[in-house]
Amino acid sequence: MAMSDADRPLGGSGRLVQKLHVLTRRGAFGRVLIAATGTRPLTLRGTGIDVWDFFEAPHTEPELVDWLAQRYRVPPAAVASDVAPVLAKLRDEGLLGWAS
Amino acid sequence: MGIMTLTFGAVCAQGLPGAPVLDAFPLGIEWGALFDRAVDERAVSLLACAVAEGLISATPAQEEQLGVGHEAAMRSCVWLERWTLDVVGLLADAAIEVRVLKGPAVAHLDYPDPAWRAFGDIDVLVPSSRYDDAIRVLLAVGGRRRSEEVRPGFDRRFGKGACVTLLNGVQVDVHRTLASGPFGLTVELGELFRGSEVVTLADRPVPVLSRELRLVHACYHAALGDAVPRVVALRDVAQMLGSTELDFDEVRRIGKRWRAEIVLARAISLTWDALQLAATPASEWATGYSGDRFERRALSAYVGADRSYARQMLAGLPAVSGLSAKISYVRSLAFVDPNYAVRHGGGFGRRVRRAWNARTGRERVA
Repeated sequence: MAMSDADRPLGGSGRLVQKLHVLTRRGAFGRVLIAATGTRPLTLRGTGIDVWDFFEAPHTEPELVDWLAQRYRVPPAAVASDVAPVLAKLRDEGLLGWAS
Repeated sequence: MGIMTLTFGAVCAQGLPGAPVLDAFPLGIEWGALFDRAVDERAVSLLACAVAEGLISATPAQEEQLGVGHEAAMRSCVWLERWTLDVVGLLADAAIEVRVLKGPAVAHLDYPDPAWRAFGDIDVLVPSSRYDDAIRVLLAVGGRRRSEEVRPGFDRRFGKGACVTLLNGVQVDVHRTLASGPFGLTVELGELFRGSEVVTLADRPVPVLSRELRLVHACYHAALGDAVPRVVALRDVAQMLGSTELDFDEVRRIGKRWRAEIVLARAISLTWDALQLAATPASEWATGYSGDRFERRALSAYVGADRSYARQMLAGLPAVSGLSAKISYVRSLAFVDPNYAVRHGGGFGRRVRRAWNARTGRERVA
C-alpha cells in the first residue's frame, strides 16, 4: 500500500512548504494560524515564527536546521531536536505539506 | 462628557486621519476601566495595533495585557473565518448566492491589517427568494435557530434575518436585508447583489459587498443596531470614509434611493462625536442633514429610551409596498405564531399594542 502524504516521515531530502489554505493573523503576541479544515488555531511565537516563515518557499528539514543554527549560533544537533516537534505539529495541523 | 469617555473614543480613533494626538495610556484605575471597556466593546485589537504601530505608548504590563487579549481575539477570528468558508461552501453547493458581511470583509478590505479588527460571529447575506433555503441548509447540518419567527414566512418577506447556531457553537447571522423595521424594508434588495468585491480567505475567493455598500451597511449597523453603538461599529464607519477609493456621492445616492440618508448622517455624526475626529466634508454634511418626515419618523423607532423591536416593526408599515402586503404585515404583527408567543410570554403582542397606542397618541410610552 502506498504511503499517504501525512504518514511520510519528516527529515531527509523531502521539501516542506506552507499550505495555501491557511488563515492567519499576526500581532505583537506572535502569529495565529489555522488550516481551512483545521480543528483549532495554533499560536506561534519566537523561533516558531521563524520556522513558519522559512517554509514560505520549499525547503528541507536539514536546510531549516542549518539556517537556524547559523542565525542563533546554536549547535545543529540541538536545533534539530527542538524543531522536530514543531514541524510535526505544523504538519499534523495541516499547515505544512510536502512540496511537489 | 467624562474623562473616561473622552479617552476611550480618542484611543480607539488612533490611526485614523484627523484622530486626536495621544501620548500614552492612562495608569492605575483609569487604565483598568479603559481595558475592561475595550474588552466589552471588542476593541482590544484596535488598542494593541495602535501600540504596535507606535501611535500610542504603553507600559510593559499594559502591552502584556493587550497582547493576551489580542491573541485571544485573533484566534477567535481565524476560527470564525475557517467556518465562514464552510458556510459559504454549503450555500454555494445549494446554488445560493451569498455575500459575506461585516467581520472578515471589513477586516481584510477596509483596515490597514486584518489584525486591527476583531469580530464575534459570521454574517452572510442571501437573496430574499433563497432565504428559507439558506436557513434550511444550515439547519440540515445541525444548526438551530436562536429565535422563532413572528409568523412562518414573516422573515422571508419582511424580516432582517435570523441567527443560526451551528453545532460547534459558532453563530451565523443569515440576513436578507440590512436592518429590521422601516429602514430594512426600504432597501432595494436587488442592489445588494449587483456587483461585488472579493476577499481572499485561505486562498479562496469569497464574495462581499462593494466598498460603497459596505459603508452603507456599516452606517446601518452603527446608527440602528445597539442603543449605544459599539466603538468598533463607529470605527468601521470612519475607517471606510477615510479611504481615498470611496465614492461618497454614490453612498449618498444609495441612501437617497433607500430613503435612508438620515441613517448615514446619524452614523457619521455619532462616529465623529465619539472618536473626536477633525471635521471633514462628510461629517459637515451629516451634521447639517435633517431628513424628511418619513426618515425622521422611521428613525425615531430605533433611537431613544423606548426603542424596541415591536416599535420598529410597527414603524415599518409605511415602508411596506402594496395593499395586500400591508394587510399581511399587519396580520403577522397582530396574530403572532403561538410558538413565538409562548417563548416571549405574549410580550411581543403587548409591545406592539403599546407602540401602536403611543403612535396614535392614546398612551405615552415611558
